Amino acid sequence: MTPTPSDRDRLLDRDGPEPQARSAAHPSAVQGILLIVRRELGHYFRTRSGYLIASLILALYALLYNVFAVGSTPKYSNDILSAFFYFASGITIVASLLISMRLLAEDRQNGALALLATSPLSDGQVVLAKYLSGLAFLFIITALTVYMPLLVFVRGKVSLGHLFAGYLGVGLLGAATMAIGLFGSSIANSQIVAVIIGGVITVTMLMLWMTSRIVDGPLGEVIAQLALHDRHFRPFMDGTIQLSSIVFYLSVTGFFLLLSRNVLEGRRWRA
Amino acid sequence: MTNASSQTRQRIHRLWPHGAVLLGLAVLFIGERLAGSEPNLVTLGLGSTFLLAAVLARATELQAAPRELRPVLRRLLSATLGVFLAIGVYALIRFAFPGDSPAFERIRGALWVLMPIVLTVSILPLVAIEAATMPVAYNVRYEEARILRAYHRGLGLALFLSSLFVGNYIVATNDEKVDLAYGNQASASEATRLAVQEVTQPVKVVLFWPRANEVADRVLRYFEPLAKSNPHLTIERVDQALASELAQKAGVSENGYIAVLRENSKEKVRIGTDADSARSNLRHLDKSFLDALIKVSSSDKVVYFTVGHGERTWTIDNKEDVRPPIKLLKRQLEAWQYKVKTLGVGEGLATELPKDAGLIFIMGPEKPFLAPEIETLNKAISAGARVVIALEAERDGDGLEGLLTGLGLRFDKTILANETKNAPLTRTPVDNTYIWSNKYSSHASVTSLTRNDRLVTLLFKSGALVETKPNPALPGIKTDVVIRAMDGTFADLNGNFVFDAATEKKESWPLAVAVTKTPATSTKVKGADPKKDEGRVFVLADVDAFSDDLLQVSQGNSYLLRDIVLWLQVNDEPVVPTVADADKKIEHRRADDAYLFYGTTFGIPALILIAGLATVERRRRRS
Repeated sequence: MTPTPSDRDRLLDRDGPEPQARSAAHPSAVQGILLIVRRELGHYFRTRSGYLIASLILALYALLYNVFAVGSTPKYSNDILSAFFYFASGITIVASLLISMRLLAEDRQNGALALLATSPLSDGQVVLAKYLSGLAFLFIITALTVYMPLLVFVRGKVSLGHLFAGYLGVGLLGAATMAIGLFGSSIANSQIVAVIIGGVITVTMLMLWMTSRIVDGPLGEVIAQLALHDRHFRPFMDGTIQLSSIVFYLSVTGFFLLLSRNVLEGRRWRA
Repeated sequence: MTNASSQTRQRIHRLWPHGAVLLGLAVLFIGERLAGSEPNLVTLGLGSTFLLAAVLARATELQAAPRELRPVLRRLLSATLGVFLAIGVYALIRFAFPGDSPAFERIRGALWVLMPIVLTVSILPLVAIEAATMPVAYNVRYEEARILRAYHRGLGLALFLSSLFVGNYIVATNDEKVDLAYGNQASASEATRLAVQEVTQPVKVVLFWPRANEVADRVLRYFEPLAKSNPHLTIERVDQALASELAQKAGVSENGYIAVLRENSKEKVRIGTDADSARSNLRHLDKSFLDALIKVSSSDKVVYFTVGHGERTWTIDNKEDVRPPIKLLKRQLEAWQYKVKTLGVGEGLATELPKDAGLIFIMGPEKPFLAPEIETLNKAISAGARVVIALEAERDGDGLEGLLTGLGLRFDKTILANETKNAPLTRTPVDNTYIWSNKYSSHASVTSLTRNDRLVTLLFKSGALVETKPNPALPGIKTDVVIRAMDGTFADLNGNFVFDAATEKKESWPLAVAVTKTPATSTKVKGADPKKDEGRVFVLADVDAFSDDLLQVSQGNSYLLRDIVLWLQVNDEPVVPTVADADKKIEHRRADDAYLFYGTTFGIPALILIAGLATVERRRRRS
């Protein structure tokens, strides 16, 4: 008589605990990811440094908004809003690199990455959890700035659609830069090296628009399409939602997340 | 001893084929950049030789290798072969499908997409294998599982990258945009898009900007979708310093200009090269371009103003004539590149209208038109003429009765008045007859006003248009009331400027009517466009609306004029110019600015910091 699959499992002692007990012992992938996200966010909001960073970034936002976007000469509401999102993009890029530098590199420095490697989560899930935690912190800070463009309502005319488009652009740019920063953090052993690697890739991708101007033909066009800010962010800044730019930012994000996962997996094999 | 043996030990696979692959690709890249549009046989031959050498080296290596090394060496060979194939695709693009035939262009387009995919799918696994091998390159055997896993990761990444490339390419070529900014400044308005679609002869838009200029990028973003919508409109971006011949042709002496060229007509719009100073001009880019386009496309058209019936004119010959002239109207039409001429009996008003008559304006005639003149106009409208009729209620005479009856209209000369919705110019009861209205229909001839109904049309002592049954002798007539008087407007029967409930009635009187006459014959011809041949007449109840007095004070009247001209000129609907200046400049007030600056820069961040620190402290105490 041929044993059934369950008989085989029992014979090989593979049945393990009851489903309920198993789920308590090994949380599902989503639960595991949320656990890490919560822990990481807690790191920001349970320490003084998290609030200090948030308020410093907000102050910087407000300073640039008042000095450059609003300025001292009469300006159209649209121009103020465009300038606000222009400066917001710069701050977002820097902030996301700074936030992402510690995501994996810090764990590697203090040995927590080895602990994570023994967790039931896959490398991809660890990368995703770390990424989402950094992104959530960035989005919370960005969301706190909403009172600045809303102030334009008081004396000017602003379309809510422009606000939405601008924040969508800032969010997508932040998501892409955060993924680049996470990749830097995945290959570096220290946070400083991580931010340098992330910074070099980001600056290179930012400067591609200049390179595209000196390269003729289809190659120049391809290079221009790869530029992180110029062709893809400016439409959002001016209140236009452009499908190709959304797809581009999601592609950059996906590519660097996959790269980070591969690096993490590769390092585990090497270890 | 061990050191000596490791020094003499061979690398597990040769390194130089990788170098040959790199060299081959570099030679091809340099050849491509140097050759420009011309195919370069020398560099292609040299590059292919390097790659072929790499493939042969990998093949011989595989043949000579022991069995346990073969799985990795086989993948190295396939990846190198993949690079060689990618170059084969490149050679096909450059040599097998030359010329401008659409079929070849399509094939080349597909191959340009295929080539980088094949290259990526080959190169990345190659890099992955080498990266995994490098730390143990002098071992006798591969760590097969690790290296194959690296290979698969590389292949997976390459396939993911390829799918991203294809996805981005497809989306970029079929891009969708939604402009949510106030006044829709970043993209062309519906009016401009329709005007561009109407272009039937080649129009070239030349953007004069230096390289790496953000203003140019924004202008280009505006024009790219327009160029896609009509093949007759082409966009070219050049540096004025490097394209002196074109600059001279366009009359452009520096960068920062948009030139619109059609045959011998040219128009230029100044934007500027510096982002800050160009901001103001960019705000009006859509309007400026639309004006330029109207000018170049109507440069061979003529507007005729009928004369000989006491019509309003731009010159005041009779000093007793106190009616405001229509100088601004003429100037505006000339600014749109129309040639303005007069049309009397001598020019064919009583026999046959001139063939070059693009538009005909009949501005407040006081004396009756002769029967042959009415007949000529009716015939012309049936044949597709475009006419503006502006009526005069203040004066005696019923000069156009015959023409209006044919269009299914009657003009009631009783002066309209409104006790609340009026222009208080004299602060006397007569102001009640200076009425305004923003009750626009959704018709194409007033669509920009419909979309921006804060713009009102001013009328002075207007009468009312009454729709009647169309003349059966003129079939195909369709009338649309496009502007109505505001609620509470009454026909002032006794002329006392105030409403008398017993005898007078408040109504939304028709003030402007758009009439179309569909030709009976063109509908029968297969493939004919009835809109192109249809006659169009815009009838306005008060000629003062286009007089100098009102055109210079009322923005609504100016928009009405442009709407009408566009509707009469083009063959499609609807027309929506933008109102970019609906946005307003924010003025600064010293006291408010100080509050805002300190409040936003220090106040709110400080509040967040204090609240955060308090939360952390409370949590610490609890624990």
